[in-house]
Amino acid sequence: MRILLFGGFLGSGKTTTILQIAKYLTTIRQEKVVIIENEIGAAGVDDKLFANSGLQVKSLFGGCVCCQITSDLISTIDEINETMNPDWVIIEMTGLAYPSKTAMSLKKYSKVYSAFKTITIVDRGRWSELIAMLKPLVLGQITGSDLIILNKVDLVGEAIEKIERELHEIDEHMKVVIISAAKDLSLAVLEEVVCCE
Amino acid sequence: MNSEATIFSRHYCVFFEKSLTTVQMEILLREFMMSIGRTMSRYGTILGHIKLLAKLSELAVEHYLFLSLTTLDNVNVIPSKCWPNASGVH
Repeated sequence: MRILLFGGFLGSGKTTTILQIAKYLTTIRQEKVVIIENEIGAAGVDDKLFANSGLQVKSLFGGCVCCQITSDLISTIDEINETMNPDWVIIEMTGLAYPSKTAMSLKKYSKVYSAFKTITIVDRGRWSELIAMLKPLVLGQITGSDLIILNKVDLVGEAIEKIERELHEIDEHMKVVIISAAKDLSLAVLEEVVCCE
Repeated sequence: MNSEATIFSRHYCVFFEKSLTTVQMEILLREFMMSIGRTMSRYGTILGHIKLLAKLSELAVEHYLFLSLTTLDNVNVIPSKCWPNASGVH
């Protein structure tokens, strides 16, 4: 069982991107996928979008898995492994979570996965504003990720080259792919995202 | 997690005096999203995420429209598979 952990600020496009990744894994590669949907609020919205697409979803509501309900996430992954035995678990974190923090906890306490990848989605359209107003959170979400997806490149926003340069100032080896999740992702991007050791 | 974050979550039932088509309903929902967004944006950017799930009735759980807003004038709309086509009247 391999795990893809998706982070990124509120509204950056996590759900839209995951929908395409999950569809690719289930329909093209014929692999079994379970999605864990984490929302801070007591009720979820995104889980309905996954279920509407025929995907299996486990919901973790009422807290953030990176700092409030980490143990719930680990026990949910164990339970999924035992009862459903999927090829992939895709975790959608809340838009305020720090993916690397959760990755650290999972690597320490979960023994049921064979490969793991942390992916953070960056919103091109709001990059300048978010950096200006919420820099510690945005940088904290990016730091330690295995892959950055620069999303919404079809919308008006900061120059893509400038964002890439700023991302590489955080980590010069950071791998960045550029997408518009509102459109079909290329096979190269899909393969890059699921390339998981 | 950012401890300064605030989450507002509300559930409303709205009854219309006259029948509406799903297209008219979508226009109203877009305007509603924009009216919330305008009060929360900074230079057109919302430092958060406004989401709305509109169902035709409590019973029709699969008939919904999902609306999302992060940048003013750019409401993203996703209908469920069961959402009636444009001519549907409710």
